[in-house]
Amino acid sequence: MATVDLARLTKNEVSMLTGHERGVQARALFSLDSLDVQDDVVRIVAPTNLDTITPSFVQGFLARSISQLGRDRLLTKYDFSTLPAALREDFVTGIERLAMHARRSAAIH
Amino acid sequence: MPKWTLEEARTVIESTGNHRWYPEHLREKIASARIAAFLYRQRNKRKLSVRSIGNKKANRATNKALIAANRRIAQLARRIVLRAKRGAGLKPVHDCHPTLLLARRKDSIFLDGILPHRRTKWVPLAARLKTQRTARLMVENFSFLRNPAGTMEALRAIAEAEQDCLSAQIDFMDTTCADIGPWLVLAMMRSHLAPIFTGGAISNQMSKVLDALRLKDQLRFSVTPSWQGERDIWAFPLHMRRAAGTSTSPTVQIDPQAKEKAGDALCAAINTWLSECADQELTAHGRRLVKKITGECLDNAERHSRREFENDGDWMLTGFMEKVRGPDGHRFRCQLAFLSVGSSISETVQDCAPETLEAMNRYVAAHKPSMPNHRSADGHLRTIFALQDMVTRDRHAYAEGRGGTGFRDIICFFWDLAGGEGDATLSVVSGRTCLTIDNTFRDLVFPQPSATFNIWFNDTNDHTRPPDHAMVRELDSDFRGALITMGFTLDVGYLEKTVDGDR
Repeated sequence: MATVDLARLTKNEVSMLTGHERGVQARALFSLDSLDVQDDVVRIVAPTNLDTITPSFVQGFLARSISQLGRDRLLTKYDFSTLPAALREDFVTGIERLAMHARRSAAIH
Repeated sequence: MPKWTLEEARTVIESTGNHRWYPEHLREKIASARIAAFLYRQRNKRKLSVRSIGNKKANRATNKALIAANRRIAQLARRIVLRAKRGAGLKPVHDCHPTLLLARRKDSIFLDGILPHRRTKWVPLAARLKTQRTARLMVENFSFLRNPAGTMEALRAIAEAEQDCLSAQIDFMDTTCADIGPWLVLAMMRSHLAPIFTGGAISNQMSKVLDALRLKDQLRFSVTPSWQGERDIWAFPLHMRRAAGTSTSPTVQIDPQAKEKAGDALCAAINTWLSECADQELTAHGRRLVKKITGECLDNAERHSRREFENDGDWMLTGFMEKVRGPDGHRFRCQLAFLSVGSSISETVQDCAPETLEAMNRYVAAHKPSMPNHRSADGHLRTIFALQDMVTRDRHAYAEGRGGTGFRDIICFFWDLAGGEGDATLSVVSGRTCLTIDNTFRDLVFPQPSATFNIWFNDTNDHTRPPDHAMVRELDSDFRGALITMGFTLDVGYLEKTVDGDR
């Protein structure tokens, strides 16, 4: 099982992860593109002081995964179970935003 | 002519004491005139070209012409002093520091937006000695939350005074701070304004806010508030990111970010406020909301404010909490403001994907006729459209199926933090548009987690209807950048309820 440790991003200096571009760069740092094509489950772990992940970070981090795997397979591929409930909720919120994009609201277009 | 600095010239002029033979009422005039004459000569005197092996072009005729021109300059400079000796010359400028005369026009994206002809109309300080033009500005109801048009007009008046006055005073008439947003804008402006402002009036309460926020240094105000009595202001001092486009680290997005540190610092500040005023701290939920609203506001600023520096825009952030005495006891009113300078929302959103642009143009075409009294209806409607879910200027993000939800998060986190009641107001100021969001539409607009967020600024939240004019205010000047400013009363009871999990 591959592990993505978000401590490599917080470096014990911050307790929040935010930003689209930061999510995109973090995705490259952890080589999520190559992990997505493997069969292994990817476990996400976080340092204890991390308490907030904004939807923008999650979108940058997982946008390409959801377009490759789809929402349901993404939720089985990535294991968020070791994260605190608040961070799990943050990931789910970000993934919902990505799923919403896939539906592309008819209200606008 | 010796290469003296202005200070050295002033010292020399004063030490000669040539003017002490003149009547007392003329002495200061003559000293000022000598300095003005010195500056005039220094600026206009032309150097003679010297004939040498490498410089064959220098010839006697050219040098003769230059000598004549310099003689004329010296003559004109002398006239400045003679006029002063006759008592008809320059009036001494009591509040004008000599170094002021060295000030030059500074390029400013923001000021050039407010005054489109600033580049050509800005009068050099030495030339202002002739006109002696002064101004006294009265600034009242300085708040984008309550009076966006008047506030923008006040900022414009300040910029105009800097453009051609030798000195100006500003009287801030508000006794309390109704909105920290315009003060943050003024602080940003001041770094690009010549130091012609020489004082004015300001209330003690307002001075306390500026002092606590350390904005007075940025504003160059020498206010010394009286802090007697019970403490009533808790500050989150000014935080700002490095200048746009100056990031050099190859791992700039991997390293911990300034916006993340700002979120942590703001939480720590609010915890201090709460522990001092109500013996409690932010709940985990409240802490996360504060961090998210900060993170999303500042991420939007970094990504979109400067088209030429993708993902490297700058921002400023400040806020404070004030203890206000009300009819039913004390209330704690919080204010936060996020500012980024660069392009307006209505400009940047037009970089979006073609299908989004097409939908936006349809929306604008449908409602522009219903806003005949708005000269910038086009910009208002584009700004409103930019707030909707899945509208992003970042084509790359759009192609990857992400982005375009930043404003949803900002507005929803704000409503969440403010508790959905009371006098919570958020204003988005950008271009010639000020959008005001309060609790009126909260229940109508607040989305389910997986639903799309749309805020169309009318009472049915319907994109086929035009926005309500009361929510969309037009500004007479162009605000280059975006300001998100918010004020809300902190409901201590609500925070306790969130601890109990009642929400």
